This record gives sequence, C-alpha cells and structure tokens, in this order.
Amino acid sequence: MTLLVGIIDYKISNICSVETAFEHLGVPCTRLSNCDAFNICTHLVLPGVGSFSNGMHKLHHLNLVDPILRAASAGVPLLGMCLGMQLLADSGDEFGPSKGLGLLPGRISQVQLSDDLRLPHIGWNDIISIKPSLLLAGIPSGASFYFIHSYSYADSHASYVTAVTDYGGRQVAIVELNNIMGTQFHPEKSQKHGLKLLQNFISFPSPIQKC
Amino acid sequence: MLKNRLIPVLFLKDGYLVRSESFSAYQILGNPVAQVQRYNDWDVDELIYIDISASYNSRNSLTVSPHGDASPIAFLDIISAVSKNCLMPLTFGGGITSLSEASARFQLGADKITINSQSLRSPKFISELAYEFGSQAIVVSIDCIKIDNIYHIFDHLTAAAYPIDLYEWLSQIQDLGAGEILLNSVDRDGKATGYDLTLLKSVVDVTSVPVIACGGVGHYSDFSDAITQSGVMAVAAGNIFNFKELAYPMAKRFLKKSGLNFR
Repeated sequence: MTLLVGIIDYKISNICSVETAFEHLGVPCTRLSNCDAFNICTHLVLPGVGSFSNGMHKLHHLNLVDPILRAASAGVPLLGMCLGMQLLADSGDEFGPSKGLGLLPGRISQVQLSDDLRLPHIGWNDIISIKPSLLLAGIPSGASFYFIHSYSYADSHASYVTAVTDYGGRQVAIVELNNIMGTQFHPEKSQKHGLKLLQNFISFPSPIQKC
Repeated sequence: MLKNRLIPVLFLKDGYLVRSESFSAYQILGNPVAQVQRYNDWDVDELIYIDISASYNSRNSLTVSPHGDASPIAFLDIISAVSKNCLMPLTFGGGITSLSEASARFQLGADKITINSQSLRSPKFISELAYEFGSQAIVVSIDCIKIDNIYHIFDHLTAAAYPIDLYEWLSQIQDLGAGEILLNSVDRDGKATGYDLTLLKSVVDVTSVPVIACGGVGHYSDFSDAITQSGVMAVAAGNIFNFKELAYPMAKRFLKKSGLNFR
C-alpha cells in the first residue's frame, strides 16, 4: 500500500512538528485545510494545540467537520494528538461547554487531581498499558511520553481507553476504537517511542488506495 | 509518575548563541543550530531558546554579519531549523509583543512561547495568548533582582526594577492564564554559584502552576538541590551546557544516580 498521511490543518496546531515526525519516518504527508484532498489520504492525523472550544470553532469555520466524519465512517485510520484527541469526544468543557466530533462517547473536563499537584500536567510521564493496543506494539511498558495539558477524558474506565498515565490519579493516555485513535501526549515530540507509535499508526490498514 | 525535567536554555543575540552574565555582559559562542543534532542524540527533555536581541530587525530579518565570522541567523529561521531537527518540546521567547508574532512561532514549530517585558506592560496579553493557544503553551518568564534583601522584578526595557510586587505579580499572571513560570535570577546569572533557593522556594510556595528554575548553575548538584529543596518541577541552565563537553548526559546521569525522578 502506498501511504499518504493527511494532516488536518485548522490553523491552530503545531503542524510543522507533525510533518517533521513523518519526514523522519520517510512517510509522505500533505496538509488538509479544506475538503479537497481527503479522499486520497490513506491515514488522517488531527493535531492540536489550544482550547477545545476554539478548536471546534476552527474546524467548523473551515468546513472540516464533515470530511473528517465521512472519512472516519469509511474506516480511514484517524489519529488525534493532544487537543486533536480530545476533539474526537462528544463534548468538552474548556471555555464553556461545546460539542465535539462525537467519534468517541465521552466528555473532556479539567484533570481532577487527588494530590497536591500542579496543572497543567507538563512533562514526561510513563504510560501504563491496560488493554491490547495497536499503537503501543513494540514499545516497552513504562515508556515515557511528553504530556502538556490541563483537560482530559473524564472517564478513564471507558472501553476504548487502552493506556493511562499516573498524575494525581489515573489519567487517560491512549484511546483506540477500531480506526479511531488518539494520544493525550505528543508522539511527534516524544523522540524514539513517539516515532515508533506513529509507525504503528501508519501500519493500520486503510480502505483508501492512493492513486 | 511525572518526571522532573532538565532543560538547556540557549540565549541568542543578533543571531548568535551567547553567554550571558548579570543580563548585561555577553560573549558570542557561535552558531545557535550547530548543537541541535547532539540534543537529539542525548534525548534532551526540552529546549528553551530566548532571543535577547534589542532590535526587531535582527530578530526577524537578519542578513548581514556584524562580526564577520560565522553568519548570524534570523530568529525565525533558527526556530524553523531547530524544529525540523528536534523531536522534543521547544519553547521560544524574546520580544514577542503580538498574537501574530506568537502565532508565527507556533506555526514554525514552537510548542510553547515565553513572554516577559510585554506581559508587564500589558498583563491582558497573557489572557489573549492563553485563549488563542491554550494556557499550557504560555510560559511567563520572570527575572528577579534582589535589592535591600527584597526580590524585585527586573525589567529589560529599563534595566531596572519594575514597580510591581513579585508575589502580587505571580498571583495576577496565574489568574490571567499563565501555564508555567520560568524564574531567573539576575544576581545569579552567569555566576555559577548555584540557584537562589530562597527565591525559588518562595515562588513555588505561592503558585499552583509548574515552575522552571534558571540562573546560577555551576555544578550538577545545584540541579538536585533545587528539586529537593524548593519543589520546582524543572531545572534549566545555560552556561554549564555551553562550556562543558557532554554536560547534558553527565548531568542526567548524576541526577538519576542521586535517586531523583528524571527520564
């Protein structure tokens, strides 16, 4: 299969860093800022830096919601990173309640800390695999990844949660439901383990045959 | 469990990597992107680049070399070159006064930006940035100077103490949406006499966002002292990483051997 990774460009993300990571893997990628090129991409990445409400606002403003939902229902592998992972959920609380893409049942709310810890949760933290995970194939258990967030999936026991991390309690680190996947951390900033995870993502079979 | 971070800070002036002392004397060290590949090899936790050039021109469109040796590089080109090579978290700061300047840095690969003088003059700039890019991406940098045994905020634009109480300022910036604090000490800058632990602890005690310590490191044990005695989440330094061969991996080894929670 010839690969083409489409990076959804909704003018909010650290898109260069995502491109750099795929360049390191030698995988071609393209920016998607309108619906035109979605149907030739074998894999889709939804990156993101910023707030939930601003992220959804920009996706709607650029008419990117429908093409994402269409590709997702056609079975195209979709990976959300950080805010991009949160936008996959039904709804989010940041800067007031707003509706998400609704690809995963769940709500995004501020991280609840049981200890006297600081927010944002910034830095390298170990992840704990709790279910079989395609994204973690070949990555040693206890590997650390770079997190930078204050909000996250509220329910760490949801069926699609495959890995968690410990920060004042159990926080959702990876979600995987068929072709819909997401990481709360930044794989594109997580050096060798991050690259391995992205490699695992692009090995997920796609229904799209790139012409 | 969340790891502590060890962060090299690179100070840039007119396109060159420089060594700074007391925020007033600068020595040119060379090309700011020459080391980038080594940082990758060492799995550096995070990098902070701060441009201390005085003028807008040298920051954004530098093309001539004022010194005749290695060519200086415009700051935006440095951001681009670093982010193309480094798969690690990157913070860029220095002279950011508008949302569009911040946006340019994020577009080129910054994960976080750090602001200083502009936040003092226009505190609401912090909340505008936090709304647009998220609090987690906004590092407020504070340089402290001790006068008559009281910590003041040092203002680069006037090279004097800024007329606002440090602890009042800390409370204000958190309310406005600062995601992290980069705390430097003018008195310790370039002195290699260790962090000002009293200052660090007093700031950690009154804040609820992560604090990055900077200023004064001369020995690896200065890093561990800051972690164990002040409660900072991250320790940063400039000169020690510039002047000592393999200082980064050696410091990491020292900290892990001391039983601290580093990657």
